[in-house]
Amino acid sequence: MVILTPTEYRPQKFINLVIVMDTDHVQRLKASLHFTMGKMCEEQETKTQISFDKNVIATITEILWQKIKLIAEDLEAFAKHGKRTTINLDDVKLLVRRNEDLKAILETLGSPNSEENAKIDKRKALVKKKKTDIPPEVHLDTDDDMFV
Amino acid sequence: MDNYLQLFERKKSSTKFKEGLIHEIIKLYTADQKVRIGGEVITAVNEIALRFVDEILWRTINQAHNEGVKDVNLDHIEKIIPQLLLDFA
Repeated sequence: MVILTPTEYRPQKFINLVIVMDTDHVQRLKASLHFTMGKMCEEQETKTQISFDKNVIATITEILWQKIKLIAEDLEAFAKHGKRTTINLDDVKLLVRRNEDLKAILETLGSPNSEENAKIDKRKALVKKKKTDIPPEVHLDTDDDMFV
Repeated sequence: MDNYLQLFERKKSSTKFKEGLIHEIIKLYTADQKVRIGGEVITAVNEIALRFVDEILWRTINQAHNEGVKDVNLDHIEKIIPQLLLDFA
C-alpha cells in the first residue's frame, strides 16, 4: 500500500544550492501570485462592473499555481526525453501542441530571435572568410645583413 | 446592445506577473536540480500563464453576465473549469 503525501509536505533533495520546499517560500510566492490575480480582477471589474468574490480570486490563484506546477513537470520531462539539461523553447512548443492559438503565439516569440541568430551566423561566416582571403605575411630572410 | 459590446470588448490585460515569479515557481517544481531553464522559455511560459488567466476571467465574467448576476461566484468557476482545462491541454 502506497501512502501518497501532498507535494507540499514531500521533502526535496538537498544539493549544494538549496531550494527547499519550505512552506514560507511557497507561501510568499503564492501571496505574490494572489496579489497579481487581485490586480487583474480589479482591472476587469472597472471595465465590466462585475465584481469578484474574495474566494473566487483565491481559487483562481490556486488553479494557476497547479497549472504552473504541471507545466514545470512537463517541461522537465520533455527536456529529459530529449537528453538535454536545459529546457528549450522547443519543449514549450511541444507543451502547447494541442492549442492552435498558443502555438501561433509561440511562433511569433521564436522567430524574431531566430532571425537575429541567422544574421549573427552570417556575419561570423563573413569574418572567417575575410581572414582566410588575406595571405599570410611572408618574411623573407635577406642576406643583406651580412654585407653591411 | 452597444453598451454590452463596449463592456465586453476583449483586450489583453495590462497587468503582468512580477519579473521572476514564474521562474521561481518553475524552479520549485523541477525535481532535478541540474535542469536549467532557457531565457526564452520564461517569456513563453509567462505568455501562456497570462493567456490562461485572461481566459478564466473572461469566461467567468461571461458566465456571471449570462446569469444576470453582478458578482462572480464559485459556481461560475465550476461551470467553466472543465472546458477551460480541456482547452489548455
